[in-house]
Amino acid sequence: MTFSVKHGYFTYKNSDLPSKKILKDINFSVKKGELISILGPNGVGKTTLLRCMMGFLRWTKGESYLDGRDIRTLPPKQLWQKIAYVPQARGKASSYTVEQMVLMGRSSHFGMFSKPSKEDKQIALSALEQLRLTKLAKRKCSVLSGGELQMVLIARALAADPEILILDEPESNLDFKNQLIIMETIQTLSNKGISCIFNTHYPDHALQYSEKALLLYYDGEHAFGDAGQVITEKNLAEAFGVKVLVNEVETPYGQYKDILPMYVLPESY
Amino acid sequence: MLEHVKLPDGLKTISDHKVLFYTLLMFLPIITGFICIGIGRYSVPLQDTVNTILAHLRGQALSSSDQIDKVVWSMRIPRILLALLVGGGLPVAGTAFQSLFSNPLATPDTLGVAAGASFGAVVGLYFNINLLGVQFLALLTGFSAVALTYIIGMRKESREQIAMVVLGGMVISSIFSALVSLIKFIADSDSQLPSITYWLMGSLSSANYYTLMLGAPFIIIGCVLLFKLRWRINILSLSEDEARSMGTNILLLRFLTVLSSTMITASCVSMCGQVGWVGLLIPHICRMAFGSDNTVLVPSSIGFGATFMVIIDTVARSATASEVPISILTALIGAPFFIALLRKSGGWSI
Repeated sequence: MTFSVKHGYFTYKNSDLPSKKILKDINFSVKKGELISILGPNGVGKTTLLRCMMGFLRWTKGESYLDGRDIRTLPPKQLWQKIAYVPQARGKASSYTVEQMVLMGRSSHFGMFSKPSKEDKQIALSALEQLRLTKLAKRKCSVLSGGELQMVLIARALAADPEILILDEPESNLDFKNQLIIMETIQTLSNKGISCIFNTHYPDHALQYSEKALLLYYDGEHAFGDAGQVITEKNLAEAFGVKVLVNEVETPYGQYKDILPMYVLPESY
Repeated sequence: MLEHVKLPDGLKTISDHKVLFYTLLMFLPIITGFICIGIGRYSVPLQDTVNTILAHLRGQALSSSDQIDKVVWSMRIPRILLALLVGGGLPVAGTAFQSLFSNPLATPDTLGVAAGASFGAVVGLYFNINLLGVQFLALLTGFSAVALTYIIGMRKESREQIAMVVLGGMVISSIFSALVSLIKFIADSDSQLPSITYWLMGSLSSANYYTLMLGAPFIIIGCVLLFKLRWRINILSLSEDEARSMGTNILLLRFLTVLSSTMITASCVSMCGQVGWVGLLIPHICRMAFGSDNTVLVPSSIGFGATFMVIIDTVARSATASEVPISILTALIGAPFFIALLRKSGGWSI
């Protein structure tokens, strides 16, 4: 399985900023089990990039490919058996139970007029089990905490038995324990062979967990490559307009890279 | 990738009393309808009712008196069948619209279907067109209304699509209501206006086998479609991107849902005018009782809606010497009940 974006351009048509190119010539590909992070300042187009990748928005130019086929030519059922999308856990909470919510993840596996089979229910429950959420199964999604809901959404994506997970800022708005739970879950999944692409506001997470990183700049340009080579003091300063120190930290648990934002660069105000 | 795990005890999916529940939903409206055949200003003993029905089913000569036969077979049975159809249809259309708009206040009126269909039917009444024509016009304008709402609301890649549809529906609805008023204004105030006004208030009194044969197929097909789609309809209440990522052809699913619900609404309106409240009341009672899962909501809206309607209509035709328009009753009974439920459950969401 490979997923790739070739020469992806995107411009908002009725934008207030006349013909501002949000995304310019995006090129990258994901291999089996790879973990890729997408970084960039607010409003640079991270979510737009995710939406274009999955076909929710149409690339102005360029294509997304799944195993060499333009995803626009794939029937939705086929596409969404391979790719699963995890939205950010926010907005109106649904009053479906966790179990019903996760079961919805199976919907690309049977026809429009059918109901999930016993096997589908089994798979949904094992997705819950795998993320240690079984105790929440009968709870309504509307009463869950942000961290729990995000995990439920990951379980729903997992229930589709996908090859690629695409996550939109999965660890935003969460406390650091929940952030760790989410990031460790993503890492475990990628070790199991599921490729993961996630948007993040935390360069630390990108450095610590992802193999590759894609950094977006305001002018529509981007840098893509090994996380350690993309997430550097120079690139972060350019992308965020912030003076950043990248430190090597020796801990009892191994060598880590740590990112310290120092101050906003005067020229970027 | 996903290994199977043994289901822990007490974690069985969906209701464990499924069979009992569906049996109740099936038989409750039928039994209620059967009992209501005997109730009315001319009361018929159960034995006579059974005999009359059996005689007709066997095609035998009538065993009961002509009067009983006329009341049971020609008046009450078609009327109760109509009540079952309308009572099952409007709530299930409401349920579907609520999921479609993720909006608990969405009803068959939201898309302007009810108003559109009313206009068609009123035009038919004004020109004294026969019943088939009235039905046809109501269906036509009902569909036009929903199509117009669709054109206004469903702009490509609009993030406010769902809200736009509701707003479009409101606009279309008020246009058709204005047109209905226009027809009432120009209608002959001695002969036509009373019948139009009375029809608009909603009544099942015109029920006969001929009307049923024309209108019932649309309601039944709509209900069957929604029943078959009931699991998928859950997906409609997710956000746009999420719904699309479920691997469902979302446009087709929306279209089928709107089509079924419109067919049901237009057909109900053309057979018995605007019967308010049931399309809102019954889905909410079911929602409060059974939760938001459409696999349960769709069949229970049909079952309980049909039962409710038969009872209400029986009251409407037997409570006073002259018949009470049914929408007055549904509002008078429905609204307080609804308020009580709301206060008790503290609201609801989709």
